[in-house]
Amino acid sequence: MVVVRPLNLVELADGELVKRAKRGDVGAYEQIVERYREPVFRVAFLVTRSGADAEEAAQDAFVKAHAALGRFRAGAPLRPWLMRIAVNESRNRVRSAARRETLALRAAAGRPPEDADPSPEAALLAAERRRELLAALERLREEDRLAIACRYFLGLSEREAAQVLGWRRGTLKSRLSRALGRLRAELGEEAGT
Amino acid sequence: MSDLERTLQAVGAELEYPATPELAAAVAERVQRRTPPAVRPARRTLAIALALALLGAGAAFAAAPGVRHSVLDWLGLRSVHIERAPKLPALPPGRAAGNLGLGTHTTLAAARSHAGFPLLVPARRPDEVYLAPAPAGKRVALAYQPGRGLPRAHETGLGMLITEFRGRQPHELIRKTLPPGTRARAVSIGGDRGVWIAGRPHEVLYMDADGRIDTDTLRLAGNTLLWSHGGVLVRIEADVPLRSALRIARSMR
Repeated sequence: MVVVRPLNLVELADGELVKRAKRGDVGAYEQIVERYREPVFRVAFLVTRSGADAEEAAQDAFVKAHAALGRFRAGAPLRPWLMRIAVNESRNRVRSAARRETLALRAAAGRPPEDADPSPEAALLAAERRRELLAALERLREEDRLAIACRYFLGLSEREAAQVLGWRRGTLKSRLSRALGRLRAELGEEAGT
Repeated sequence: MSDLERTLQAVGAELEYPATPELAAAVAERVQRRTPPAVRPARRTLAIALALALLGAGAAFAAAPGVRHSVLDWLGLRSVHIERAPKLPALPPGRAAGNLGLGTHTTLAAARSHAGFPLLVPARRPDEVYLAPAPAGKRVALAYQPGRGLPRAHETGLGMLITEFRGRQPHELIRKTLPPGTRARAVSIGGDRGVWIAGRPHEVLYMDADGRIDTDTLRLAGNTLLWSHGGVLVRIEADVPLRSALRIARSMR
C-alpha cells in the first residue's frame, strides 16, 4: 500500500523562520508567505468577497507583517497573527469599495452524494439547504458573518478566531451565538436545535 | 456541536474560493526593496547551500540538526538534504543524455556487474545506460527516450532518467533546493520511505568523491521520486504524475 501524506519537508519551524527573516533573510520570509498564503488569502476573500481585493490585501498584509516582525512575540502562533493583519487590510478595502461578490459553493456541491448516509445530519447537508444558508448569511451584519466565517468556514478554534478578528474571546462567543440565532431565525428553525 | 454548526462546517468545505495566488515572489520583491542592500538573500542562500555541501554532511548536520534528524531520519534518506530557496541559479540550456554528465555509456549487463550494489531496473528496459564513479562504488543512470507515456522533460530532454548509487552518509550528499511553488510529499514505496518532489524545477547538486561540488552535474530536475532501498538511493526524474512514477518504481526489480 502506498501511503501519501503531506509533509513539511525540511521546512524550518515558524519560530526559526521568523528569527531568520528578522535578520534580513528574505528567503526565510518567502517560505513563511508560501506556508500561509492560503489561509491569509482565504480570510481576505471572506472579508472582501472579491478575488482581486483579497489578493491585494493578502500581499499588503504580508508586506506589513514583515515590517512588523520586530513586534511579533517569539513563540506566539504565526498563522492567526498573519491572518489578523490580513483581516485589517481587507476591512479597509471593503469600506472603500462598492460591489461585492456573494459567496458561492463549488458546482460539485450541488449534487447530493449518491451513497449519502440517510442520517438526519446528512439530510441537512442537502445542496438547497446550503445555498439557503449562504443567502441567509449574506443578510447578517458584517461582524456576525465574520465570526461564522472564521469559526466554521476556516475551521479556526474560538481562541484563534478571536485573535484573527481582534476581539476578546467572550466577544467572539456572544457574536457567534447571536449569529447562529439569527441564522436559525432566517431559516425558520426553532432555537436550540 | 449543533446541526446548524455542522452544516456550516460542511458549507465551509464546499465554498468556492478563487485559486490562491502566488504571493511569495511579489512579497519578497517588495520586502527586498526596503531591505538594506548588504543582504542578498537569494545568493546568500545558494552560497550557504554550496558551502555546507562543500563542508560535507557533517556540516549539514551541524547547521540543522533538528531538521535532519526529524525529517530525513524519518524518511530514511540520510544522504539527501532538501531545502527551500527563493531563486535557482541560471544553468546552461537543456542538455541531452550524452552531456548530462551521466558518465560512460555502457550496457545494462555491465552496469549490473560493476555497480557494486544490486541494481534496480523497471519492467520497461532503459534505452541507454551510463556508469560513473561515485564515492561508494558507482553511479548508474538509466535513460529513457521520450515517448510511450513519458513526455520529454524540459530539464533533461529525456522521457525519464533513473539514477542509483549507494548513498551512505557522510560520503555522499545530494542537496535539493526547492524554490517556492515546488512541493515535497512523503511517500512509501513497498515499505521504503521516499519523497515526491513536484512542481517547478528544483536544483540538484552532487558532491564528488573529493567532497567538491561537480558543476558539470549541476542541473535542474523536474518531478522527482526519490527513495532509499537497502542503502541505495534511487531517483526517478520524469514529467509524469506521482501515480505513474510510483507504478514505475514498484515495477523495479
